[in-house]
Amino acid sequence: MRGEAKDVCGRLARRQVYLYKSEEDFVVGVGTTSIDMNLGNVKEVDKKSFDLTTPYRTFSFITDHEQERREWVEAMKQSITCALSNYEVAQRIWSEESNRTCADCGAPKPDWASINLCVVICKKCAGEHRSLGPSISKVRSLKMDNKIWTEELIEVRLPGSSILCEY
Amino acid sequence: MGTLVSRVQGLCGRSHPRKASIVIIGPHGSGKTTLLYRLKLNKAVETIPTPTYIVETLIFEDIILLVWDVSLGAMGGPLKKHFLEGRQGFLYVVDSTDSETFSDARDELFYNINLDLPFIVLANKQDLDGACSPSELVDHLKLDTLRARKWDVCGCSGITGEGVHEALEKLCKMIAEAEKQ
Repeated sequence: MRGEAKDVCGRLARRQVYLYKSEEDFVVGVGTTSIDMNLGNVKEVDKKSFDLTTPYRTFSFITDHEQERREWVEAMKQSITCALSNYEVAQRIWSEESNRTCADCGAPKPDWASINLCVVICKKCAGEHRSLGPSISKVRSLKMDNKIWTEELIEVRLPGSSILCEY
Repeated sequence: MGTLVSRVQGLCGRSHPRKASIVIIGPHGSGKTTLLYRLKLNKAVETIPTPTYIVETLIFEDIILLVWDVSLGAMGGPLKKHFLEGRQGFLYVVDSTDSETFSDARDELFYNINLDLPFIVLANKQDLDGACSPSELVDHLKLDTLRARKWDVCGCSGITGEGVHEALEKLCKMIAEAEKQ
């Protein structure tokens, strides 16, 4: 399904995108639709346009400038991650300084972990770990896999347990 | 004459290709994205954990397939129903070497998913040592208690490509049968 509208104003909230028909509507706050970002996905189409897809509908946006598109895509990606994440576990694990950088490549704020190797890693390295197979490294997300993070699993990563793994 | 008629029919059929949309789901790291690109590009790609989902269109035999590779993590469990709505079937991917994920997979299949859709359970990673066979996976997931529904199980490997196309072919047949009813 594709709809067409000119000069739409968008407002990105923490977990939703609101669309307005005109700038006046935007000021008054009367929107035409809102999209829940926990079902969304952004895809860059070309320099000035991008798609926001949901299981039900695709919204295609065309921006005036490349820079503007970049900002929107970046903001929407953040909003989607935010809508699907629970930061409780991540914040606790990051409270230990050695967990604030990826154990393999040193990237900041790593949000994945190998639960058997006891290391916190970034997304890119999580891909590498997964390709080793679960018998070597069991990879879980700090933000999206909240259910598996038991007290014990969190505690071994807190002060006094900075183990670095090299393979 | 008979052959001509059937040929004409064949051509007419091809001008309106069938369309279907399917979903690939399964636990983290079971190989969903690798399977998606095995189906689309017929090669093994290196993946990073999928943040939400990836949609790809591929042409399989005479069907245009819209394939949703959905990875929402534990937080997104209840959202999966949105992705299954309006689809014709799904592939449920399990890492046959990772017995720790079996109980989660079973819970998800039994409680979180609309099982009216035809689906295939893929015992993925058959190329690795220690992979359980498709029939062992049926036992582990207690799939035989689902007998009344339309499902099947296939062994495959997204890395070598073994069994992947056969599984999709089977699913497409199941979808076609479900549509006839």
